[in-house]
Amino acid sequence: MGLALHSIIVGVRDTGVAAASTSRCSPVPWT
Amino acid sequence: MFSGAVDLTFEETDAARDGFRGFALAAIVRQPAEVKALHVAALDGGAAEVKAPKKQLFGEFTATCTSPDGVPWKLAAESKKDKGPASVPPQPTETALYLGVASPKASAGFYTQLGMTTEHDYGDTFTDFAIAPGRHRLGLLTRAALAKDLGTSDAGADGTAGLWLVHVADSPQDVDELVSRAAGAGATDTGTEVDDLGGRTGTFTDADGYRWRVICRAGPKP
Repeated sequence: MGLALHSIIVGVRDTGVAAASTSRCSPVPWT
Repeated sequence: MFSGAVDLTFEETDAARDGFRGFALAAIVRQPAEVKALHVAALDGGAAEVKAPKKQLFGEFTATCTSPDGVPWKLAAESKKDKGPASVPPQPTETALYLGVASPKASAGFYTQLGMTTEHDYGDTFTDFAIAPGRHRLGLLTRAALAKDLGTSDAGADGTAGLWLVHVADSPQDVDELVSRAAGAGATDTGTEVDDLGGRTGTFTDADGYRWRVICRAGPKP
């Protein structure tokens, strides 16, 4: 099997802020 | 889902900080008008403008901003000129993760040893991999080039703080095999462990400090 990228985990200071952004994330924020 | 192909999730960490982080997320839309619309929506959503939408030196139309959670985003258009009205809301045709590395050629060599296939190869300038063809790609370029593209500087930045790349393996044996291959290809900080639920997680770090988790969850696959 080869390496694939299935998920990206980004470290942020406040996941609440990130969640507020990504709640609109389809597939990226602001769309 | 990040472009329906790669999950994008967040973890709270003290390592997150302002400035150049060594990577960028990107959304590619059809035309310049959609870059502008997405950029305006980003700013309305609390993002900070780094580079206003503009046609670049070689005609590429891009904009960059930093999301409220500190993540650098690049917005780019497939075409150099508008071909019609912008779709509302603009829907990215593709997303990407760009990593700033010391040598794209060396880094690409590492990842091809682990089974990835390059799509575009411009030697030590730029290389990318089609993670999900037509939907998501992983791009490698020099740290200086990425920083410049993002409208910042890589001076003094360690670059890789707060980023994990994740591979979901089919079996615990695959976890061990991939980590072993990574070690053989020059990865550092390699290790594997069984988690509390009986799943298996492997980790390794590439030559530029980007950290990978290779995971196999316990129980039946979804």
